Amino acid sequence: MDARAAGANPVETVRAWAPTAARVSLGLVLLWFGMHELFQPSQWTGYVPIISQTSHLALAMVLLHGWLLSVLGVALVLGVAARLAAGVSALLLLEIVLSLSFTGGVSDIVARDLGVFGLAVAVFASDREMWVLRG
Amino acid sequence: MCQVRIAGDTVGRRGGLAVSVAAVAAALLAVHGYSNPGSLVVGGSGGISTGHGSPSANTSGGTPKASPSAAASPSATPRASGTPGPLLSSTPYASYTYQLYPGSPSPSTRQALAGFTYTTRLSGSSVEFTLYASGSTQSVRSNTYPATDRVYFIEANLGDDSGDTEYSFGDDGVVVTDASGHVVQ
Repeated sequence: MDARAAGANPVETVRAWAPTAARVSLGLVLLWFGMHELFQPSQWTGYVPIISQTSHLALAMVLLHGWLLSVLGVALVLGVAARLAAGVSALLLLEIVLSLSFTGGVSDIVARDLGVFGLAVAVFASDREMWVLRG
Repeated sequence: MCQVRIAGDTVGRRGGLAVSVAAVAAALLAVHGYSNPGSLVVGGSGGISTGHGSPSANTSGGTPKASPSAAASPSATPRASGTPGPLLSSTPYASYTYQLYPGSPSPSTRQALAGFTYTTRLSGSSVEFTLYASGSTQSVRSNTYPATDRVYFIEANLGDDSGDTEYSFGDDGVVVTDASGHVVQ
């Protein structure tokens, strides 16, 4: 059901727009973190597991991660290959949740990222899209 | 119209072009980020101007460095006689400061210090202050100040602290004021 078909029923309107809102929200979150990692990579090297956070390898990994997040964010916001982007995002977030859980235990950060992981899974499973860049 | 199907999604020319442009732009930003990784604040004074010359930042290329010379031979910081720095309370950092010296750390200070430990050692009219990254015996900052000075830890975002782990050193720093609250380092 699209937004027009939802008519004046607020529940139906929310139902119609929720997948789009979820997709765009997830995209903006990824874009924000991706940009931050690209502009200030040194602030993120502490999150790279195993590798010394002062190493150039950690810096390169943060930049690669930031690049991927940025591309995924743009794809999600524009609705280009959104399902693929959401699927890759879910895998990335799952890796982050597991990595943080093993290195620092279950924490507030892990709980927050678990929520974003759930959002990515929901977007991946969604097939009702509006505001997508077609053509 | 050129269209391809990827994982059940149809991607057209405009969509593909938009994502490609984003990928190239992000790659350029990554190259820029590699050569300018951003400065770590720990060891420096976070950009607060002081009235006693430039702060001696212990960072280089985004990599925190210990200051062996300062750690090995902590001599009292020469206090130039000039105009005092700004009042710490008048800087944007004021609301993010946690007092380390004098006194004992409050619970909120201990939370802000996640990932760091410090020692203070009074010696006559001066105090030797040393900051360590948790789990390391190498100091990230060590200096000696007049005992009347105050040492604060700056933590701009507690959201990157989890338990005793500091995930982002970029928003942490140390600032020192004189007894009247003017920034000296």
